[in-house]
Amino acid sequence: MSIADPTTSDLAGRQPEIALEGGRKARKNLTRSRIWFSVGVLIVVFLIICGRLIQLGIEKPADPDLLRANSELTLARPTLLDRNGEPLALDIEAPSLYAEPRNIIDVDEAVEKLHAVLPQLSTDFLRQRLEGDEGFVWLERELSPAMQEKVLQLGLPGIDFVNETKRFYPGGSDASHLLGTVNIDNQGISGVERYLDRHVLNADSERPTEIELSIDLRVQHAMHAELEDSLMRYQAIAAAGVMVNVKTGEIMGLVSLPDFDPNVPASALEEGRINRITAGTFELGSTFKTITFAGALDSGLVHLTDRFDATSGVRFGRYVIDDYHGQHRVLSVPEIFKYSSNVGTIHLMQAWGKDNYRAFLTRMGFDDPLPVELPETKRSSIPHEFSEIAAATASFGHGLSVTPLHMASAIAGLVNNGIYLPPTLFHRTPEEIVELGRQVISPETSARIRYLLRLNAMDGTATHMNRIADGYIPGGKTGTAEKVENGRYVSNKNFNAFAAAFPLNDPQYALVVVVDEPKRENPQSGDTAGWNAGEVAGRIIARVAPLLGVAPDFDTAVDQALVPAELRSGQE
Amino acid sequence: MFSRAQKTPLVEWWFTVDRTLLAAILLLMMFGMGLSFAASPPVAERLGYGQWYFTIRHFLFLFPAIGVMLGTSLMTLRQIRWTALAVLIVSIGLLALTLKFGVEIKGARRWLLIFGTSVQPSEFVKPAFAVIIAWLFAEHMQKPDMPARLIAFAILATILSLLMMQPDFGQTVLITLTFAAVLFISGISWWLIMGFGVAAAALSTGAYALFPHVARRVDLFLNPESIGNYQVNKALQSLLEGGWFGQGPGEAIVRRYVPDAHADFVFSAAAGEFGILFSMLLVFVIGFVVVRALWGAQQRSNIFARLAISALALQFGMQAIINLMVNLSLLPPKGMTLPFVSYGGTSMIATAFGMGMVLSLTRRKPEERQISGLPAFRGAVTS
Repeated sequence: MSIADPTTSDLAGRQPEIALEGGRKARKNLTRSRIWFSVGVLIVVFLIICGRLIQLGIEKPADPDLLRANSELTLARPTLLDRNGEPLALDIEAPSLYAEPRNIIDVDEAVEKLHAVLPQLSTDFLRQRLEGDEGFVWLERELSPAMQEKVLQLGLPGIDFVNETKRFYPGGSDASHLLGTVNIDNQGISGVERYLDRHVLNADSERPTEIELSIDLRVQHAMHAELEDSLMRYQAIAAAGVMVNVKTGEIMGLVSLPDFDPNVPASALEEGRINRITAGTFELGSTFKTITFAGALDSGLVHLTDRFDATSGVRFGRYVIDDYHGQHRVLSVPEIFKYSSNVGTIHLMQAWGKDNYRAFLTRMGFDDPLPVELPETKRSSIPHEFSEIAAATASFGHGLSVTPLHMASAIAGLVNNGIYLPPTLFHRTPEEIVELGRQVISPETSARIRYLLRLNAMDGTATHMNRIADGYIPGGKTGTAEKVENGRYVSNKNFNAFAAAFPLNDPQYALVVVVDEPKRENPQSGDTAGWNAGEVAGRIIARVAPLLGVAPDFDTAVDQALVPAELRSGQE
Repeated sequence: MFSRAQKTPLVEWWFTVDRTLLAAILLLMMFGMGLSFAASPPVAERLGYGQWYFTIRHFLFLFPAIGVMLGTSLMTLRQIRWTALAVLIVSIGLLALTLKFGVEIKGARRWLLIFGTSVQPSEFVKPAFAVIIAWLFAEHMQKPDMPARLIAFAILATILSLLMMQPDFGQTVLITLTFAAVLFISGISWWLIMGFGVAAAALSTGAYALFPHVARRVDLFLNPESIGNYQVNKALQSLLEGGWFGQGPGEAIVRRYVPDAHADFVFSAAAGEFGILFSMLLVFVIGFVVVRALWGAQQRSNIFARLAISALALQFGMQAIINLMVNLSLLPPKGMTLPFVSYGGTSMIATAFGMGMVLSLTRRKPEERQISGLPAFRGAVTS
């Protein structure tokens, strides 16, 4: 035996070193006291556990009904309505059938009668479920109210229903990105639903039963249908649009395709289904010229009557920026806008000053995070300070990315007599509008921008749109941006945008439409924004304007009235 | 049967074993059975087995468990040591095999498939490790010149590295705590204890930094608002639903939604039906088993027996405490079962083996009552 039996250590006589004995005893006593110490610690911990149990016992007086009413099974969410009171999302109560076998008097009778009403439940299944002494068994989940009525008519003891709450979106995918969806526990996981959970449905305040959103279901549906059509028509990989009420900042409709069915939350997880209106930032191209023109004209440093040299491209080191629709002559300010001349816009911006331009972007809200009530938002990406070349490209919308909603709000502010309103998805009162409204440009400049947008529709890059939405006095600006792949611009893949407002004699709505990688509809058509994003915007306007009470007006005097005074004298 | 007229091993056993402790353990097993009736049917149904799948298996596992426990409790001190050593060697070997041949469940390789049943070797490592470490430290206290501590540390390092490769954070913690407990009981100085405390803090910070699943659990615990804290929320809801007296058998609703209701969260899942008072009774029984075993430990004059019992009892107690605290959301989720109560065949039999050793070692002077009736120092005489 190499390992000594420890019991022998007690026999002191066998140990040669007697001196160690005392030490050993001391250690033995030490282990004993350490054991008692451990017992003490354990008792303290067990008391803590008991204390916690007592705390849990006190916390909730055992009222099962109250608890069940609060449990997620039946937790109610407010009904979401559009601005006309149409339901967008609502709770439906689905009656689920259960049995309490111990309360059933005659199993045979119950099986027979239930089977007659619910033939999908086999008699074997019912018998197996109903026999015995259990307190609760499910028979069938989420039946229709009609079925519930029939079962109740049977008058069987021990058979009852419990209402389970289910979120239902009657519009299907029409407002999917906007509304978002809920999880199995009825908690919002995206869109307005999630925003509500975070900011409105707090436990300390009373839960509203109805919430009215700013959107108009008719507009929403029309936009959804037209954008869906555009995906087919132009073989695009994505399309999105947003319409804003310029006088209130309320969002009338917001669609981003491809989208999902909020009734089937898992469908939101597929690739590429982000909300491009608020959670995607893009180079919106020449639509930015509207912003550049507004700022430059408002500064007083540039006038509509000014002329800029666009005979040849602008050179920055080894880069030359030239025009797409090149005129190669001296252009007036309205001509620069309607031909969408990059060169003219750069000269115009330079006459105004690059730092003024950068400050104006901030004033137009492009630097702010979107104030909209959605969790899915993305911040703009704009250089803090512009170099000469960065300012030049930014003047026609390249080298900076913003969300389409940023652009829609800015356009709305420009045409609304220069009063910018942050976008919202909720109803806004007149007092809030006065409080939130911010004068970003003068009403006179706003009138000039309206003229330029209308001019572009009648005689510029936006004529396709105008032809479709004729009579509703629309105006707009195209933006065709080459997409960046692996750090370079590729010329055959475009990201097209169109920013519009209507009716321009009394601006009410602003609209931004984007189409990602559109192809030519037919060999005769082009692939720039006027051919696709512009046409989609035109179709949306033609479809929603009558719904929104905008009467068509074909009188050319309306367009004449839009021409600012300084140009009118020149024409006459 | 238990007449003292004849000195059969069984009679020896009956009159020397701590019958109170034995009764408490059997009572705990009964409670486990009862809780299984409440907590496992929803899980079994969810997993597509029959409603009583886990309950029936739990019941069937009780027989080998009780058999192992009683069998082990019949052993002598020396047999305990060698059995523990054998179990430790075999289970460390199996532990190493899990890394290569293990079945991967939920991202960890902890199980081996042997004859169609899955076995978790780390469960057997725990009690065997406790006994062997106690043995080594007892040797060290009597013969300081033996490198017993070094061997103990080497065994610890081997097991910990194998466990971390699985990875199994819960068992790693428990093995480390067991080792610390033996160190503590064996009488290391308070200064060293403080040093180890600092090292433990550093280790847990390291675990947080190195293992994403540990970090996630801790984050979720510290930030209970997040949706991902589903398990803990449901567990608490189930406790609240039960109230003092419970909803009664088959009546609780929340337990249906408690994940792992048959295993880690059996305590809170069953509380919905049985109520908080019953849960406190269960906590009391667990506490009684641990304290009773420790009381038995301090009565032993044999230093090895004393250390081994303490190590086994504290291991049992700490595992139960961690599980209970997780259930009551006093600690972040760990993946620790409630001994004798949670579902799990390996766990139950291994715990029974550990408790069997406690029962054996707490037998009144088992060293002087060997079967032959010869004096206890016979081994020493013959060596």
